[in-house]
Amino acid sequence: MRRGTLLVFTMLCGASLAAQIVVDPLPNQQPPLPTGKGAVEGVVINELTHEPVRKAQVTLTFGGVTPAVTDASGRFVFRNLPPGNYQVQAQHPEFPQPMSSPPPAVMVALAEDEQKRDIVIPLSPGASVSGRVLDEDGKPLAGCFIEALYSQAGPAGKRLNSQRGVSADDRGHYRLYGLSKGHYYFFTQCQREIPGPHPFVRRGSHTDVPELIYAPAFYPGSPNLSGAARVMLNAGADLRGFDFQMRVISAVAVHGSLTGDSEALNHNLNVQLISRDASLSNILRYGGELNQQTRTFRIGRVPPGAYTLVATAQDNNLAHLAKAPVDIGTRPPEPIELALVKGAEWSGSIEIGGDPPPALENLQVRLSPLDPDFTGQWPNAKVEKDGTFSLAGVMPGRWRLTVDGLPGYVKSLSLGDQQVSPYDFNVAPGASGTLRVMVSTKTAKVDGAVSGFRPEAIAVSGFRPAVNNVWVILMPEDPARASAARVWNVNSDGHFEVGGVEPGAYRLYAVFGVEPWALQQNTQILKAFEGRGTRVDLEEDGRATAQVEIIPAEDLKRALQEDE
Amino acid sequence: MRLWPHIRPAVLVCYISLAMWCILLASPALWAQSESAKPPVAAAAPHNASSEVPTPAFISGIVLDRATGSPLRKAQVNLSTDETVPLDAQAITSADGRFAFAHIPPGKYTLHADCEGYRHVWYGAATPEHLPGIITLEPGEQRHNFVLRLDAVAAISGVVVDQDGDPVEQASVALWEHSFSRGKRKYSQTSGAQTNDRGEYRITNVLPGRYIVKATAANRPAFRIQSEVIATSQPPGPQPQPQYGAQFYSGTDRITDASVLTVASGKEIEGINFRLPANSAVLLRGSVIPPPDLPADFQIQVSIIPQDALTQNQITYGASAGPPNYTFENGGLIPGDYLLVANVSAGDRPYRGVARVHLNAGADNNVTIKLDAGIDLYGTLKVEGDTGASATKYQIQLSPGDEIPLFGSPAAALAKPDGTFVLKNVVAGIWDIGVTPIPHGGYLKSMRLGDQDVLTEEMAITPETTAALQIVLSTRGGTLEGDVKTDAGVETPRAFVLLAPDGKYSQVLSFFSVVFTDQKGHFKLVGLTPGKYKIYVFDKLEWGSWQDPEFLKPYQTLGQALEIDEGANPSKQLNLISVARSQP
Repeated sequence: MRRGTLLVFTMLCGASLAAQIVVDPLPNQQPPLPTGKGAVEGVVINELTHEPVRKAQVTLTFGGVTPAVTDASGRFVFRNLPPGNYQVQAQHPEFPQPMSSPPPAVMVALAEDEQKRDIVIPLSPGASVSGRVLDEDGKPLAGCFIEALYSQAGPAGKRLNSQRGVSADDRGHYRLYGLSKGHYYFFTQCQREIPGPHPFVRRGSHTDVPELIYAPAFYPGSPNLSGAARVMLNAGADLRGFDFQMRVISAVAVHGSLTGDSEALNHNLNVQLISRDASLSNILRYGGELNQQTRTFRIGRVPPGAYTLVATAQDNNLAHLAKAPVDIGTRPPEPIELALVKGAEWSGSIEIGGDPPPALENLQVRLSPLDPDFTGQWPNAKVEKDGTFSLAGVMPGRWRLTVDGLPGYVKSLSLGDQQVSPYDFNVAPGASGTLRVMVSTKTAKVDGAVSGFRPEAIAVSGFRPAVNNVWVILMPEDPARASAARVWNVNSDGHFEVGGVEPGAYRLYAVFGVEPWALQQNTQILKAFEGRGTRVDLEEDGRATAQVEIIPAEDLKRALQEDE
Repeated sequence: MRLWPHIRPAVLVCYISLAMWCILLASPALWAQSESAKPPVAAAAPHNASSEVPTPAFISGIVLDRATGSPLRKAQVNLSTDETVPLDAQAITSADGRFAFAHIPPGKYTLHADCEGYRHVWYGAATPEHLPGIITLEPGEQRHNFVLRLDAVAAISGVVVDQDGDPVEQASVALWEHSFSRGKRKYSQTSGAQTNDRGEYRITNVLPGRYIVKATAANRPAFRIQSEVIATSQPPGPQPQPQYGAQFYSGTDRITDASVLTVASGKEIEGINFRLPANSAVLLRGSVIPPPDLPADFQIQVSIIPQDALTQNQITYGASAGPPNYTFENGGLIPGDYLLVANVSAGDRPYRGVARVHLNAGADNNVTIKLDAGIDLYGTLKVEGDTGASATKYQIQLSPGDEIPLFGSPAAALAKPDGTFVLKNVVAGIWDIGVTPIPHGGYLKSMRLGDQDVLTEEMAITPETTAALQIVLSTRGGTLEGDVKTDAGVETPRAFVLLAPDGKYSQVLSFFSVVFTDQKGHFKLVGLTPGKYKIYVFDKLEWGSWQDPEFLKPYQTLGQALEIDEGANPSKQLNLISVARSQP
């Protein structure tokens, strides 16, 4: 579903839900909203062409109005408004959401009976890319799938994700549209057989002769990222002639069998080949046929490359995994036997200091995978009253441990008798044992004020607390501890207070107009703005006060775009 | 080749034959087959008394576009046999459309071809509905004259806009082809496509035929311009989302007014455009009258089925009605005709209630559904004639004869030795009666529900039905045999023989029979109901087309009238000389 449309729905739901929040304890009775004689009027325009946008949905942060839908001149007007601070926001399905900024909005401070007339909301038009897919003879090739990929930073590194995909039609034409401004790679896969001549074979049988396929390709024609074009799409760009000339290559079938606990093998068996290149692990995945009775599998039409073969058997609490590196060349590999290993049972305990020690019951221990080729469920466990917990199905690999609902922070973690970092630790195959989580309640507080701050940047809407786009980010200086970063809203008077912070060295930043989590994921960007942050050192039970200046939105947006 | 204009004809002929030999020798099929020293079938050569491997056969041919006559490259040609084990060999045509198969063990084969953008074709079959021709290859035989003509598929494209002329993205445009069911025109969805941000769509791989085209944009909010909003002191309640109404080409929301597109092979049909109206969603409110013995906490499920035509694969909406008032509502519907079916099981009995409603935009749509219990239908089964080794267990089964979905399995019963049976829990509706087994050569002689002949008329059961169902089977059905020849006296294999009832029962579908003539043009029908008939022979017949009462009218004079009597009618030879061409 398009993000634009989803956001519209959310906003409409939000607008209607907002209107129904009951302040009065009596049900079905809402205190009347104030009205007045003020008005907010304006136009929604295409940022590039400056033409009016018809049928844009415009919302005003006030409980007594429905969204307006602009007419042919892009015009909207909200009447009978009481004085106050409002945020006006516009959406249109043809104008996609920016990748890492909130939707465009205008802040309006309305005086009593004021008629504000010249509000302009610019919407950034989407970009489109079109072209043809051609076969080895330059003739149109039908049925290939073309994707626009963008790079996204995550806890386990950068990955390519698909923003949009479309199939080429019978004439080989394709068109990707509604792409938000940013850097993209374009990638095509043709999931089709290339029939070849063969002598009499039994119907329905497979041969081990190498199969021919069209090599998956990054525009303009490279099988991997190193030769791929990183294309910058500006708002409203309409790039044509992005043709793919597909090459025929030999592909092979990977087959083999699965062994292991027969109970496990009956549950949701899945076998996949996943690219060993971490950035491509979401894009290049191949599945195949799996015979549940004989536990044999066959993954056909695999192009040459470096992969990991991953087999999982999952069912509620049961998790089994087998992994093997597979390098595919032009010759069919030998059959691979994968032995499914049961995910380990890790029992553990949480020790917490403090006087009296807080309740441990109902805390949740969670493991998040850091391996790019991880498939399966993420283990989690509820903590008992005595602080013990039991994690089932922990597969070998790299993990991060977090505890939800903790009145403190994870100070240390030991696996068996080894101290490991809760942010990134390794579980060896077949290992099992006891986890000891040491929690400290001696957290720190940071408070202070943000400067370079405009009060009209804050809006009030009905009964809801302030909606604003000013955030402070407390980023640990140690990049390994990046997941301990904290993001907090700034109050309407420019002050902030962040409690429950893990002690350590941090740098404090203030941002406006950019989604803070995009920065939280991508620590290098903030690193570039180091000079505009304030160093904060936090002791156990400590308290620090800091001042920080807002980094202008344009600078951050530019840095994010260059990085994408 | 620049040399062409300068070569004399004699040299040209040598050049061409040399070129052909080069092509044949270079054909990958040839080399591929020579790689396998022993094709599996050769090892089991059945018709050679000596243990020598029989001399292989060789065939070649060309694949062409039927309309333009131009050769097709990259067509997949398969030579298949099912004599001992199913085997296929495959050749791919080169740019000149040619293919060849070598080292073919003698035997019987079929030849078929596929090509991107074209329909599958079997050698020797005039249409995909005909049976493929059998190619018998003798040892050492060489045949070079195979021509496979493929029909290109068609494409349909256009633009979908809303009432303001703005493109509608992600609208679905679907092709519905018509068929006949129970004597009524019925449409079923075949293929479709979605529109892009410009409202453009393109449906490809369309087979020749007649279609209606329908555009819908379900789940797309249909925004209406409202540029001025006045604030109120009460927060506005949840706004029902305006929705796009469905539309048939061209410009109607009633399927009965839809234009029929005739699609010929290879056609590119553009400009099939739509303008979708935006409607406020309609609210349907209703209540169900529960059966008296319904336990207190039961919910009654109501299915809300759009009825703009007798369509298949239509989305069904739902609601549930529960105690104490058994009311239900659904606010997400577009105006139109709907069938409401309420189902519940209480005790051992199923209850069903049906209502038909037309929902109007902006109106208060209210409906009440009464649930009725199924009745027990009593009956008797008699068999006339000699059943031989008796004690056959006859089963009587009812299947829905209307389009109303049935909750649970249909009523069925075994007849007791005295012929009586009880079909339990038959809910109100139209039911078709099936009896198995029909004795070989026998027929269903009569079925009566009280006074009503339910063999030739539809059987409608209501909660007030008290009549008994009387079924009579007879072992003495009529038979009919004949040969079909063309005007020139040539045997006609694979012709369609249609036996249609004549006179007052000409609309009773169960009296129609269709059969193919065999390789020698011969056919045989058994178990026929005695009566007056007309017999027709077609070289092409669309399945079910005879259900259209208008279909046979143009061919009345070409059919031959005959009368079938009870009991075996051995070898009543008919030399039919008319071969009618049916319309595409």
